[in-house]
Amino acid sequence: MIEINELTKRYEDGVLALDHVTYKVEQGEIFCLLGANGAGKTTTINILLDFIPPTSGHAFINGHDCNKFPLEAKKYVSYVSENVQLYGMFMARQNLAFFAELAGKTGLKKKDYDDVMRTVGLPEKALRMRLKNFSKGMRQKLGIAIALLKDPPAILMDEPTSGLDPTSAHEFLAQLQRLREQGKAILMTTHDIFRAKLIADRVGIMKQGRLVAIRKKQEFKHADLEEIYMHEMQMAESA
Amino acid sequence: MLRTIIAREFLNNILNLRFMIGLVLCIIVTVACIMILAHDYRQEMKDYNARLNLQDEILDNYAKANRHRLIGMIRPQKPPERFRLLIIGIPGNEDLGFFDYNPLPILFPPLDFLFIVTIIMSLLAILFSHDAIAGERQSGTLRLVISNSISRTKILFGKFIGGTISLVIPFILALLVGVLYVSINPAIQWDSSAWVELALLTAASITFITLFYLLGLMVSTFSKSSAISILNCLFLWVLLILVIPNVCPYISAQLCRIPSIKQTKRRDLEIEIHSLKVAREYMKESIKKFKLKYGTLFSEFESMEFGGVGFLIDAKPKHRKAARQRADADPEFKAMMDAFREEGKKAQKELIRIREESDMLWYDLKIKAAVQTKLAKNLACISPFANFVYVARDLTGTGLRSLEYLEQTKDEYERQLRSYVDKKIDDAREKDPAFEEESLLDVSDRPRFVFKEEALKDKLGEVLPYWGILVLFNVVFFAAAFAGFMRYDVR
Repeated sequence: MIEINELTKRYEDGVLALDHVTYKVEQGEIFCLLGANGAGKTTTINILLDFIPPTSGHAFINGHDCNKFPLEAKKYVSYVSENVQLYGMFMARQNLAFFAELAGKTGLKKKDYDDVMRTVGLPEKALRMRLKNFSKGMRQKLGIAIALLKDPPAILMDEPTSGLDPTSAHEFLAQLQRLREQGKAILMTTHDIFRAKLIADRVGIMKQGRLVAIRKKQEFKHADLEEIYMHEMQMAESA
Repeated sequence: MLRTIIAREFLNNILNLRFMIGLVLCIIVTVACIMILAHDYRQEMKDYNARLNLQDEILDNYAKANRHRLIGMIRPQKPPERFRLLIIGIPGNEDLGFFDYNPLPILFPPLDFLFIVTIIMSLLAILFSHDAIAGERQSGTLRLVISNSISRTKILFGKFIGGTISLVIPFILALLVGVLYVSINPAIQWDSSAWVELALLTAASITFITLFYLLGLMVSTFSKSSAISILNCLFLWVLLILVIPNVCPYISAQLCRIPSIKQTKRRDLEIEIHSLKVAREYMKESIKKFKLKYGTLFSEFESMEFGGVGFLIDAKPKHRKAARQRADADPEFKAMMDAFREEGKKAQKELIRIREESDMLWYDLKIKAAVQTKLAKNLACISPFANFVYVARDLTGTGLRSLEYLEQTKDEYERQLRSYVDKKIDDAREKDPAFEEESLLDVSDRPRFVFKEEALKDKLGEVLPYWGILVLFNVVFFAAAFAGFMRYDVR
């Protein structure tokens, strides 16, 4: 569903953000990208969403080249950012309706909104609240609700649990689980090794633009993922 | 999809405090401005009617057969411009007296429709659009919008259309309130052409407002944050609204130098003094010669108070009569008087010849000033402000062109009046040989000056190029905004 093929990105200032990165995220799979700041995790997402062009290589969503046919590729993907920012003066329902319409979902009924709010764990009355009165956790949940309303086969998440309190983070992971069960391909960048271990089917470890390792769930299920991560980092350093 | 973006942009703007501020400001300022100007209009209309009545009374009772004086008495009176309710026209000489009592209008810019559109609305437009892109980038919503399958072109169009609608609403609402006031006020009567002109003025104003909205949008697509965007917008606003239109006349004056009115008046006075000196010297010499030649006869003539420049022309009728009688009785006196009259005419000719230099001076100044004005006007076209002012003023008959048009109609009327006065005096003389300049003349059937507005077609012909430039500015700013947004880094 999500395919990264020899993807390289060198910024105008010469920084090599991605260095021939290749991997795939299949349907019903959660792939977590781990790495320090500047490792190239967000750059990958930026290329997948056509925010920036790649220097070389390709990124595909549902078989559509994200750089050549971005509008086609973006039909099949939703995006949840680290800090979901919506229109503060709008009520939650107005935000949901706007982004749903952008995703081509028109004619949604009250029941649809109520359902999605319940699914993400937000009270129905929050639909009538202005976004400026939402906490960060509530905004993150509404971000997920927007992604759910679009109902795409792939979801990109950029540090989605960052800044969430433990309860919200726990609810968030439960939500991810449900999405996986629905067959969504989820690419999630995170610093949170603990939660990556809990939820990921595979993890990719990035360092200075390179994908230094990919580990399957079986490989880190009973091991300390942090140790694996540190080990891979040291290996990459010495290489 | 486009409709969704338009609706969101519109809703986002009208939920914002700046929309309410804009709406309230527009309505208060427009209504206050129209009410004040309507009061002034009624006052000016009253003054105009009073001037007409006074002139009629004077002419009906005191018109005498002196051609120059009579033409001078019949002054074409222009009614106040019908758009005086919205736009303060360029003051004529008769209006300057007003400032003797209240000098403040000179110190402060007038609050009228032009001020509302060019200052208030243009600033509001920038306030609405400066953060349309940069603000959304900063808040993070732009990433979420662009992560959907929607082209940047649609986003930009949506923002432009939605933003413009939310900006134009306060303006139109305020204008409608003003128009309602005009339409229910019995003292103000507009014909259909005035309403068409108002509709065109509104359309031109919207072109100007969208231009500044697009300017803000363009700057926004080249800025990373709202703060930088608003600073850049304000810089451009000051440049386009205040600096360029004010600097262009100075540049034009430097490129096309002409003497000032004061200098020309001084030179004119010098020429007049010189001409008088020359004529006086000439007459002094003539008097000397005549004294030598005619002796006591000339002294007798002198005692009849003739002589000097303006010989016989300035003489009083009773003196002229006495001289004529004396000349009829004495051929020698007549020969001397005729010879002296010839000398007087020569002096007069010399005086006129020298004074022609003065006429040339003013004519030359007028031509050069016209060139300088045209140059300044064309240079100022790089500012949308100047183009809008030309369109608004020429369309409503409150600008420079209306003054030129007024001069033309006045000239036509004066030509008509001169032939009427000549015919009237000739007829009166034919009927009564004793008819003199001091005799009363009935001019009740004189042609009346009726000021007619210039035809709309002619006005449109004049304003369309400037309107076209405003549209061109819109296109350029949109193209620049488009180019900027296509390359805009949403991260």
